[in-house]
Amino acid sequence: MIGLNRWRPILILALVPAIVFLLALPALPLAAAAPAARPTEARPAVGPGFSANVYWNGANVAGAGSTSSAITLSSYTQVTVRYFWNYTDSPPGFSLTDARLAMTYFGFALATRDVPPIQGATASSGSFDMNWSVGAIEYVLAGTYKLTATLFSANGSTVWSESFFVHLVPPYSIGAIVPILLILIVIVEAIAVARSGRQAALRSTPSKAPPPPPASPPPSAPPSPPSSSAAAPVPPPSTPPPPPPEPSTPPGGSS
Amino acid sequence: MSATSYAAESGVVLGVAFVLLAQQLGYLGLSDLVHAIEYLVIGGVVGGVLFGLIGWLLGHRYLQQHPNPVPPQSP
Repeated sequence: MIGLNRWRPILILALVPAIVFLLALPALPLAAAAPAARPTEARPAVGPGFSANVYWNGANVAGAGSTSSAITLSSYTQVTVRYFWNYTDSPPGFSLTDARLAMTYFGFALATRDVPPIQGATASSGSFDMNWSVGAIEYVLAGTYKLTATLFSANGSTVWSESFFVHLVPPYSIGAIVPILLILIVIVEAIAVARSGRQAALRSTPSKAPPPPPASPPPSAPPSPPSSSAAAPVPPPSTPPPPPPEPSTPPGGSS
Repeated sequence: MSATSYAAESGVVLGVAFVLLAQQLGYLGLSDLVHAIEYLVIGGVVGGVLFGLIGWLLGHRYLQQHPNPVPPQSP
């Protein structure tokens, strides 16, 4: 308690700014918190004096703003995307020149359809149709993707845009390349996990296996010199041994 | 390589593959780059931890069933 009493002023001095900061935190305009608080569903960016709508085969895409409410698109389907626009200001401060439909995956545009210029865009209200199809992507990818319909003005700025989700159904439900590859990868890795128990046996073999018996030399091999430390090592001879003495004979012969 | 690390490696691949497969089957949207990377990282980490634990359990069970493991003989 003595130590706590000694540190109490420092703790109070540290806690007061921390509590004040926490109380003021919701009122601070933190730039990093703004994107996280923004909903994932993109809302239309309506320009001044302008409103627009997009219909996907007759259905308003405003109801497909999330993956759960995505528009289902079967393969080999040609889609008619109809843009409606209406200038509420008279005369309008700008004119439409370009319409675009882009499908994104990992933030990158997979397919883009661009229609410049828009016929009759100077009228106070109107519509035009854009034909769109998935193309060769249906043989590669499937699943849910975000599409963004955009209308541009003459200076290239975005007048209006709206994002919605489309669920691509490949041929035979999984008949695209990427889902088949992913299913094969999952099967192979699941088999590898199921067999991972043997890895424990392989790893524990050197430590838990009984020590090998002492090796005995084969019978045909020559006897090896003793390698025990008790026997003194025999130094190799520095000079060859002298030859045996020859028997001396008299010069006169043996007779 | 132990059973835990062996299964954890497969688990990372499985976690990433599950995320991509969920998108391909229409249960998940990976159109935004930041969210897609978040999903992939979470899938890899969760898969690695989960399957690492499964690998540890499988290795433990294998050693209980085979007290004297014999390494596979190479030809």
